Amino acid sequence: MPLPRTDYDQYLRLDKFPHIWCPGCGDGIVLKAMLRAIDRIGLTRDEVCMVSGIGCSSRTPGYVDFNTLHTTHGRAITFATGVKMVRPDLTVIVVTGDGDATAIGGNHFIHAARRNIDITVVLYNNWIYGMTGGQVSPSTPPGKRASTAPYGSMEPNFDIVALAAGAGASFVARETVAKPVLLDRVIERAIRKKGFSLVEVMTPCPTAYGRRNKAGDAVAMTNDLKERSVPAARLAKLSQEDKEQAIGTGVFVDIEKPEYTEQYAKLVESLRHARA
Amino acid sequence: MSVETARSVRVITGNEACAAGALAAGVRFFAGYPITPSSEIAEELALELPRIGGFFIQMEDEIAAMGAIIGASLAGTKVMTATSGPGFSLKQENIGFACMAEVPCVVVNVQRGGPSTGLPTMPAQGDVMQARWGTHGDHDIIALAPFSVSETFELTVRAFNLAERYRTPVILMLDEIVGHTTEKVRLPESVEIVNRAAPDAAPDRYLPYRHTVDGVPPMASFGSGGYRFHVTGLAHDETGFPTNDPVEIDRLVRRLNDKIARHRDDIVEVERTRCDDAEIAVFAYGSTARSARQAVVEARELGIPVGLIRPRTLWPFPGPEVRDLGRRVKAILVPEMNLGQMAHEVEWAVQGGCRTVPLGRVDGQPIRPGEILELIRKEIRD
Amino acid sequence: MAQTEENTDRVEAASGSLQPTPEIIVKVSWCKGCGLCVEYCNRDVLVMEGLLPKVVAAEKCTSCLQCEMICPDFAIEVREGQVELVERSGGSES
Repeated sequence: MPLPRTDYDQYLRLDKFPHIWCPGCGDGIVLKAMLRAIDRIGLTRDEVCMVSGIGCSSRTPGYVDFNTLHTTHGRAITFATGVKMVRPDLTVIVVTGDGDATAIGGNHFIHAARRNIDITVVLYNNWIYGMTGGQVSPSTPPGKRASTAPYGSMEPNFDIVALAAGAGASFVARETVAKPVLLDRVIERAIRKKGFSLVEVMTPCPTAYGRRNKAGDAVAMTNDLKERSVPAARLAKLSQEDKEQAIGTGVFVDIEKPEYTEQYAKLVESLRHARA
Repeated sequence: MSVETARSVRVITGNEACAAGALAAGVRFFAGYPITPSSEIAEELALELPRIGGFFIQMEDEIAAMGAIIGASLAGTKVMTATSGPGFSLKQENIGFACMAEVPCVVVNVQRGGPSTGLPTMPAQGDVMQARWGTHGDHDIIALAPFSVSETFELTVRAFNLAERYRTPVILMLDEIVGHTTEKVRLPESVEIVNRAAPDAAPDRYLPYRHTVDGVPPMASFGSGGYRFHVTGLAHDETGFPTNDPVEIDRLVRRLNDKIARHRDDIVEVERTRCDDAEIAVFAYGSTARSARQAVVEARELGIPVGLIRPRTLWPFPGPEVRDLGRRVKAILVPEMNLGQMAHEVEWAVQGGCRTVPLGRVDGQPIRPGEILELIRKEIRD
Repeated sequence: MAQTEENTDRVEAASGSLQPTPEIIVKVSWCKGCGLCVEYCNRDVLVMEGLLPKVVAAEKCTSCLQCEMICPDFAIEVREGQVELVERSGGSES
């Protein structure tokens, strides 16, 4: 009996491998989880449009054999909006990072969530700007060091799940690369969901974040993510101190609300009837 | 005597003519953001696009509007956005992306007084150089400047056709006067339309950025016909994937620039009025050209041998046409609502063949025919 | 095109059953030596040898695919093994 493994190769631009991500970077784990989800749903390569911004996360589309679009820093969601509006039949997946989506791209992030347009945003959160050498990000935990926060970050960091939920996203989840099975399941749910879906994925950057903060190697950082993962339902029961260290995982929001392209199609239809 | 139908004769503003031209040219996706004096273009298309199964969206900012139209264009649709100075500044990074990724789109700039917030409700022509060099890096661009409501319709259609033909953003430079002036126009029943060249290779052999003979690669669309390809703003080779190879990078950047420069005969349009026997000429564009035309008429009535050269294309700059004229006249007067942005280009083009005399206004007021006539009279005396 | 080298172990399952031992394939030129596969294997099938994982106990592999899922480099694959029939003497051994 054949193993229930996913044939990743069919989705990859194999001539581009080995990829550029550092040894121990979790980004490849996220990509694999996305491919497992896409495979299980049964999407064809022609049906998927993957759009990214700038950063380590955003190199992902170059490695996959879909319709791929590598845009400007922070703006992937806007390009994705244009694609999805004129081709609502395509499955549009945005791949972005913590800086790309919540710093420069923050405005687009909250408005796409508010509109509830049917795109899936997979946000690779490595707590740093990795590609550019390790600068501080809105998700760098307070006190942690970065090249532009050499004395430790003085700023509170975003709760990206709360941000997306507050902006009106209809599906919001968080996982880490430490639990690939949970990760691919939640990505599958996010893609299947009709509406704006966000999956925030904690992924280690041993090179830029790890070294500066003495977080150890990939194994140590990934184990740390595993140990700190706490299912959402149990978060409330933690002590204040434990809560600060905890990474809440699972699905935080899964609600039904009108989806933007469907609403638009209804408008077009109603105008057509009015003319007839 | 022909019967004018209600449908084809309209009394409309330049902004409305722009929206009408876009619809006639086949626009089916508009993303925009409110900014005076361009908002009427968005408002008109917000009304009309859903009626014909097209798409309209007001995005959260100007940058988003530019991103959205690029995405929609890559998915196979004709697209447009409209703005004014501050928004035009915001759009520049993504305009550069459209240049680099060779994405057809039309960007309308209804110019107003600048810099910065400037004069939201008053005209200027101060963004002319920005249209050429607003985005970073070596790129070429096409920019058109209609001078009437009727010409706004016509050049909007032309802007779409050029964008499709050359796989490039085209900047349509109105100003507050052209945008907000109401004129009676007869709109054509149908217009000639150019579409992006479809790929001639099968999906597995398709090169989205092929260095073709004419410099313009055929363009597939996302999710169509089995074509899957990669689009990036990084320097790339013919396959569309990023490259660090100096040979490939050089080839790409030069092709992006050459594809427009080489086709200037097709792209550049200049209207000459009474230049054959002219001893001095007036170079004017946009709404200033209306005043210049009137000044030339009045000057001729006074027996002054003056002509008007009016570029409908601002970029590529009509250098050869201007140089040619410069050999035959003593002076070219350049009235514009800025401090000499085109006057510099004129002076460079004539290479000392004649005097270049700028006349700049930056106070939000149109240049009046009388001002230009006075300058003509002064220059003909010298 | 990436060169691949395969380190495989075909060891008959100790119980002598027809359950084939999985093939564990390491793409040497893609592996960046992060060690996550070794960490995630619950059965001590793999150890790091320098910067590459080495299969030391393929017969213990249960095809859970954890190593494959956790590998960020697409450099390890677990595939269905081949059934090899071997002449046996005596009863089954554990």
